[in-house]
Amino acid sequence: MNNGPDQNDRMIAEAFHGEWSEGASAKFALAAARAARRRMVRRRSVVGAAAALGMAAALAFAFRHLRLESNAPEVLEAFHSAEPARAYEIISDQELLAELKDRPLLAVQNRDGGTEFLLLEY
Amino acid sequence: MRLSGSTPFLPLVLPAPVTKSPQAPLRELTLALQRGNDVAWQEFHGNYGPRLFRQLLAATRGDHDLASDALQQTYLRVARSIQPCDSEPMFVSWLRVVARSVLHDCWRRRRSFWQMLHRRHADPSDPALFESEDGGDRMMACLDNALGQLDPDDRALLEAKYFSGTDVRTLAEKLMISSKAAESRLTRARAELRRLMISALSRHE
Repeated sequence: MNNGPDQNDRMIAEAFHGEWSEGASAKFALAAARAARRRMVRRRSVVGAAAALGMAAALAFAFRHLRLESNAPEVLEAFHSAEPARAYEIISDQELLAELKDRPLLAVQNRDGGTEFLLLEY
Repeated sequence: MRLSGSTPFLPLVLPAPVTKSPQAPLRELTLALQRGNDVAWQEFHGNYGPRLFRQLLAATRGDHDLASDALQQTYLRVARSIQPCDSEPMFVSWLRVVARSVLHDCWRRRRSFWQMLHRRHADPSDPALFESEDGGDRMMACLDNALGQLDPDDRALLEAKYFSGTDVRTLAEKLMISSKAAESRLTRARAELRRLMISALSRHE
């Protein structure tokens, strides 16, 4: 009688381990099942932690971006106020005449032919 | 080829069961193994465990402690690495590779690996581990010889249990003994078979 490999394998296995589905060897399978479950739990924890970290990073970035936008006018104001004060001011002819009204002004001819104006103060 | 039983009081051939319990498609099984489903692992143990153990026993030349240790480690490594699979031949080949890798690790730990290297060095014609697709014709020859050396009653009992698929209760009824007595006889027959196989396998060293 020619028997399949499964029957031979079963006979050999049970010759060394007794009832294959109930004996000590069956505990190998249950131990492996527990190991697989622990591995699934660990993987889920890692994936969950990575997702939480990613969300936290995204929220932090968004919050920082909002803060930057709300501070913009202050920044511009600080920028503009940082301009150095000029030592002169350009005014129109009318403004100049208004300043010089009833005030003595001396016109001096320079040697090179130019004219220099001096304001005579009391 | 199996020797036919010669026991007058035990029916020689009983009809084999029509089918074994329906096996879940391989993909579903491997997914369930990955999830750590107890029932799936018990199914895996029943359907693939004996073949793996036989291969490991052949590779260790009857060192059943080492083979059992390697089998347990193989299961744990399968639990760690298994992926869904649709192909039975591919799955079986992968299991063989895992078992072989585990066995090498066990050998290194037990130092008998070096003994194997010395043996190989002393006799280069020593057949390779897992030499053939099903774990070695030597193993089957060893089993045949061991069965041939068994007491005819014990041989008939084992053949009825494993080759005809007879359950212990039916065996007990045929033998007109209790189920407990039938189990005891079966245990003794297995122990004797084990002794003969270990003796034959270790003689190859």
